[in-house]
Parts: sequence; C-alpha cells; structure tokens
Amino acid sequence: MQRKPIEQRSGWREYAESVGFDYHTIDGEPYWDESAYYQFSWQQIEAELEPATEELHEMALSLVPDILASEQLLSQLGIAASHWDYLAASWPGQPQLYGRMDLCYDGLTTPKLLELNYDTPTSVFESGFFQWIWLEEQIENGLLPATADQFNSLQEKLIEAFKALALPQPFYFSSVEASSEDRGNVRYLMDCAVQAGLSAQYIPLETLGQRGGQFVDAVGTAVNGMFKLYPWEFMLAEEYASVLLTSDTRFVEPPWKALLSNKGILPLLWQKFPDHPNLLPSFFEDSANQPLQKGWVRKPLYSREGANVELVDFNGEGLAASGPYGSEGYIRQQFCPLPKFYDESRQSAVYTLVGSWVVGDRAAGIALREDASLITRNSSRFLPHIILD
Amino acid sequence: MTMHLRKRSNTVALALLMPATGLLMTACSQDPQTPAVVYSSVQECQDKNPQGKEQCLTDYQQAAALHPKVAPKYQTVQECEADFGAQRCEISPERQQYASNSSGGSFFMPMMMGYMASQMFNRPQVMQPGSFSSAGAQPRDNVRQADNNQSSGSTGGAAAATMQPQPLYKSRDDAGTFRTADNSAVASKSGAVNVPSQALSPRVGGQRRIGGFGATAASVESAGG
Repeated sequence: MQRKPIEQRSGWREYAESVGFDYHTIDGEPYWDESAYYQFSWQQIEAELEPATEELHEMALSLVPDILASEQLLSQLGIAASHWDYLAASWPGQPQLYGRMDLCYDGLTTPKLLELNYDTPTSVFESGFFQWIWLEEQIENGLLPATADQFNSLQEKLIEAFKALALPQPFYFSSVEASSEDRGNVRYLMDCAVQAGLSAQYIPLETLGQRGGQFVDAVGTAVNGMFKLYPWEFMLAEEYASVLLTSDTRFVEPPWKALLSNKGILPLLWQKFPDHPNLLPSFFEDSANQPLQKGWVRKPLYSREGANVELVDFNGEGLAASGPYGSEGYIRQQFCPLPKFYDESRQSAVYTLVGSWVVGDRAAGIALREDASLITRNSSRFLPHIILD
Repeated sequence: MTMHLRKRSNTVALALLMPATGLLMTACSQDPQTPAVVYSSVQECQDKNPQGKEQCLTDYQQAAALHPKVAPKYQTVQECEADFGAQRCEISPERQQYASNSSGGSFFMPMMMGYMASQMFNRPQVMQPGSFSSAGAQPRDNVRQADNNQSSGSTGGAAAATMQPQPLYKSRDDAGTFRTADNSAVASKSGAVNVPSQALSPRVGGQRRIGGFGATAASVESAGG
C-alpha cells in the first residue's frame, strides 16, 4: 500500500459537474483529490481485504437473528419495544442492497474492522463510477500502465443486485433534499436501478405523505417501495414512525439494518467472535467505566461521519470530534492507528482509511479517505486507487 | 507472473445525466397525449356548446362530486391558503378517512376553479364509465382541433377518448394555470387542451403533511456516512 503523486487530468472538474458530481469540493476544500493515488498489491486485495470484508459481513449478518431473538440485546441497542416486530418482519426475507465497512489497514498487518456503515453508506458515486473513469483515463494518458487494475466492481454488482431484489415499481429513491451530496449518491443508485430495468422516481423525504396509513407521494400514489438515504434510527424516532408500522412499503435498506448501523454491533461481534483477527476488542460503556485509557476510542451508538468520536492514542494524546450524537450511549473500542502517509503537495502527514464495499453478500471494491486527523470526517478527501504488482 | 481476474467493472455508464429532483426516470419514450377541454364554469361550457348544455351540466356535476374526494387536504386553513391563496380554501366534508394518528378533526381543501372533460365531438356514443384507462393511446397529431369546431369530424374515430370529468384548481403562485388535484398543470386558459396520460384519470391529491421524514437531519450535514 503506497501513496503516489500523479498529474491531475485536465478539465476533471468540468467533467465532474457534467455528471452531477457537484460536491467534488466542499466548503472550498477538495473532497475528490486526484493529486495522488493509492497503490495496492494483488496480494493485499485478494488475500487480505476481499476475504476479510466477506468474512466480517457474514459475521455481522449472523448477529441479526441473535439480536432479534433477544429482548435484552434489542434494548441494549436502544431499539424501542414498539419497533421490535417491525424490524423482525424484514428479516431474512428482505436482503440488503449494500453496505460499507471501514477498515484500519496499513498493507502490512491484518485489516481490522473500525465500524459498519450498513444503513446509509455514501461515496458510492465516486467509488463506483468516478474513480473507475479516472483509472481508464490515466491509462489512456500514459500515466499509469495498462496492467493496472482497481478493486471496484461496485457498479456492476449494484446493477445485478437491483435485478435480484425484485422490488416494487415504480421504485422511489429518497434523501433529504437540502444535501447535494446525499442527492448525488441517490441519483447514482437510481441510475444503476434504471440500468437494471427498474422504473425509478426521486422523492424528497420531506414531501413523503401518508393517506390511510400508507405512504404516498406528492400526487397521492402509494409508495410501495423506496430506497432511503436516511438513517433508520432517525426514521424510527420521528413523529412519522407510526406510519412505518402500517404502510405496506418495502424499504431499502431494510428495517433490520437499524441493528447493524448501530455501533453496539462492535461489542456484540467481539462477544460472539472473541479474538477474531479482523476485530478490535470492544465493549459497551457503563457508569462503572474508568476515564478513557491510553489506546482506547469512545464512539456514540449512533455516530456518523466521525462525529462525537473521542480517542486517546498509545502515548496518551487525546483527540475528540464534536457533533450532535451521544445521548443514546457509547461503546469503547481498542485504538487502531490509521496508517500515516506523507502528502508531498501539501507537505503534511495524512491518515488513511479503507472503506470496503459489500453489495449483496459480495465484496465489491474499496474507497480511500484521507485526513490530517486520525478521526475521518465527512470532509476527508477521497483518493482513487489502483492494483499493480 | 500470476494471472488475476479483473477486479473492476467491465464497463461503467450513466443512463441519466439530469438532476434527480422531481423527474420521473424511466427508459420509456415520449408520453402520448389526449385531447380534452377545460372550462372555468358550467356557464362557460354551455355558452360555447349551445347544443350540449345537458352534457355540460353532467360533466360539471361529475367533476364537482369528485372534488371533495380528490382535492389535496390540509390540516390547517393556513397551510391550504399558503398553496392556493386567501379565501380560496374550504372545509373538506371528508374527515375520518384522512385522519392519521391525530384527532381526526377538520381538513381543508382548495376550492374547485374549473373542470376538465372530454371534447364534445370526440365522445363515443355510449359512455363507458371506468374505461378511461385506455385513453392514453391517442396519436399526438390527431388532436389539434378546437373544442367547438364541430365541422372537423374526421378524427371522431376509433381512438376517441372517454375521460372522467375532473375538478381543476389554481395555485396561489401560478394563478393563471389550471391544475389537477395531484398538481399536474393542464391548461393556462379555458378551451381545448392536450393532456398527458398521467393527468387523464383523476388522482387524489395527497394529504399534505408538512414534514414527512427529515426533521432529525437539521442537525447533520449529510444523513449518510
């Protein structure tokens, strides 16, 4: 795993905007960054990242029936009793579309699971489409060898998955309208769905209506199937949750994903698979816990984008990210230092996170994020990667 | 050197290069259109169709009967007037049917500002209630006649449309345009129109509840991760 500078393609910004990737720069800072790329070996992809991803996925799914059968575990994850039957009804009949797990991996040691983004994973367009185009063009430009490959079958697998899921049509795609990043992700998934032969329609989540306990769109048509880029824990907590229980709507991701997007899954994995080489020791925090010790990280059950994460490294240096989460409780996880690289163009150190995609039940590629901080945030840069021996 | 199976998609492509908001995205082609006529009142219809006064009345009555069933519903008169303008809303006679988890009180709906029906000369001899679903098959080029141009009988053939008369509304911010209950704009003035197939059958305007999901998102930049 190496970080290598490379010349940027001329006009990539105009191209990005022409395909709806208008969030390539966020608050004046680059989000898509092609001033460098990461290079992996075949061994790192095929012997480490790919099998670890599929095994971790299988382990995570194996927990779902355990949790659904246990009132104690459901309570521990903060799921209200009034929603237990709703979650259980979607398992196992409604399989997942996709998920992304974040791994701590330096190319040398075994990948470790940092967390699952299994309900509302984003960066799907830049992963599945834009970095693929980047590689093809850089090979064409002669800057990368024609033998270079990429761990990225995301688009192909998404199209296959949309075909296999047998979804109601028209199938709706929804997000919070104000977020252009979320809309971009949803638009790309819609595109894959249309290429899979589905009739797809966008609906802003704010305009979802209901009539007689059934979700309807703005013109009163029943919404029988909907992809939502909006967390289950938000939906279940909002006033409209009552309609979920009466509406005959098939959701993607399915309701049982509320269990896997919860950081409580990390201690449960550690309990079920203690000392598994791809897991970090994790446990639920309770009032008896000591202050955060050296080499430990504290995460809220519902955190996204690194919000409210707090860590103390092996030297006792503390770091904390602000955010709106935390009231629902915390878990603690052993600290795994992200690999550190040197960014020549910025003359600074960067820390790099490997996001690993799962579509259906198959590993589908990776997404690299780097940041000057050890805590990866929404603003962390996305860099493309290649496989080359 | 070891041979490896390719790890990236064989091809990637985008089928849709347009903004997602509000667009229906399907692979299908241009929507067929059907001729119809819009009137702001039964009087206007009768003035223009002295031979068809009875039909005007029947159409109007059918549309007016449909009005409380399909008009968009609001929980407060303020929400309704925000969309349709001051003094343009009335209390809906339908209550419980639209009640959700709340008390089931009154609902408000916009007043009917006109109606849409089949063109007189285009009607088959026998009306077949409920058969309007096939009306979308009209070829585009056959439909460019004025409603009361009775002399051009050449198109009154096989594909004549029978559509259920339906009420029309006018929104506050676009007061010149007639709209169906489900907010499809169909005409900028009274007279003959060509109607896209999705506006042919009356559809219920949703019960507008300000909100839907999304309230929690106010505290986060992106709901994804």
